[in-house]
Amino acid sequence: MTKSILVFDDDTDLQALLTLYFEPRGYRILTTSDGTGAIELAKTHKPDVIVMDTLMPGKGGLEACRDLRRAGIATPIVMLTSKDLEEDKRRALEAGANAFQSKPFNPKELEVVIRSLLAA
Amino acid sequence: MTGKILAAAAGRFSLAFVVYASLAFLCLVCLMFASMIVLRLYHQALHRYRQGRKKLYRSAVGKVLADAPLAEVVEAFRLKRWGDASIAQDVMIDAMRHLTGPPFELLSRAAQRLDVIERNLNWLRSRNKHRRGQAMEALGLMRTPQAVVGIIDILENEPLDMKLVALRALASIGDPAVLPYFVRISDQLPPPMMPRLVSLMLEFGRAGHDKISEIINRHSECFSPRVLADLMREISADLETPT
Repeated sequence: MTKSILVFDDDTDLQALLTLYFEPRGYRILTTSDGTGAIELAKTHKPDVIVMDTLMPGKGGLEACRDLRRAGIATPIVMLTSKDLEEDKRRALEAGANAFQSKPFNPKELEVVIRSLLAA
Repeated sequence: MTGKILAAAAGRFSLAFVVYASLAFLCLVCLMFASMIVLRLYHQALHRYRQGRKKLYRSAVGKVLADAPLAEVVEAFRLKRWGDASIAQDVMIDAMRHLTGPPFELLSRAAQRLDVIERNLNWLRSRNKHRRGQAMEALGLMRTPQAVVGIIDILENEPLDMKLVALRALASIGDPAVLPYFVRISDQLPPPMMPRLVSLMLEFGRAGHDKISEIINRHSECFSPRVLADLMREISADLETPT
C-alpha cells in the first residue's frame, strides 16, 4: 500500500525537493504551509508520517508540532532541525516529535528515518 | 498673474491658485498610486514567469536525486531560453541549500561544469554592490570554499550591510578557519548585532564554541541574560553529546 507523507513547511523549495525525491519512490506527498492546513490534512488524509521544520514563521515549528499533538494527531513526526543544534533537537522531542533530521540533509538518510518510523 | 504671485508673496493665496494646486497634488498622488500598482503587477507577473520557468529546470534536480550521471544533470540544467541563467541558478541553489552528501556533491560538480561558480566568483569583484551581495549569498548557499578569500575581502573592507551578508555566506560555507574573522569583526559591529553574529557562529557546530565564548567574554554587555542562558545551554548541550 502507498505510504503518504505530509510535508508541513512554509518553504516551497523544500516541499518541491521532497516531492521530487519521494514521489518516484512510491510515496504519496501532501504539502501544506500553515498549521491549520496541516491539522486538516492530517485529519482527513491520515498520512503515515509528517515531516516539518522547527523554523517556521509565526508561532514556529515547535509550537505547530504541539498544536498537532493537542489536536489529537498521533502520526509520527520527523522534525527538520538546524545543523548540530542539540538544543533544537531536545526541544523538538519535547514538543512531540518522534525523530529529527539535521538540515541540510541527504534525502536517503531522511528516507531511512521515515522507514524506521513506518516500521515501528 | 503678477497680482496672484504678489498676493501669494504677501501670504494670501487666490482661490484659483488653491484649486489648481490641489488638483495638481491630487494628480500627482493618483500618478504615484497608479505607478505603484503597475510596479506591483509587473513583479507579480515576473514572479509567475520565473516560477513557471523554474519547473522546467526542476527535472534536473529530480535527476540528481535519482543518482543520474553528471552529464545528464548538466544537460538538464542547460539553458533552454535566453535569460534563464538566473532561474536555473536559483533552482540549483534552492536544492543545494537543503542538501548534503552525494546529491549535494553532484549538484556542486554540475554548478562548476556550467560555470555557475566561476560566474559568481567573478561577481564578487563587480562594481555593482547589489550584484556582489547576490554573489556572496549564492556562493554561501552553494557552500563554495573557493569563495572564502573573496568574501573575507568584502567582510573587511565594505560597510555594515555587506559585512552581514558576508558573515552569513561564510557561516553557510562552514569552514572553521574563518572563525577568527568573526571574532575580529565583533569589535566593529554595533552591540545589537552581536546575538546575530553568535547565532551565525552556531552554524559551525562545536568548532565555533571556543570563539563564541571568546565573543561573549569580550562583549558580555551586548547579550541579555536570557540570550546568554540559551547560548550557554546550547554550547553545553553540544559538549554533552558524544561524537
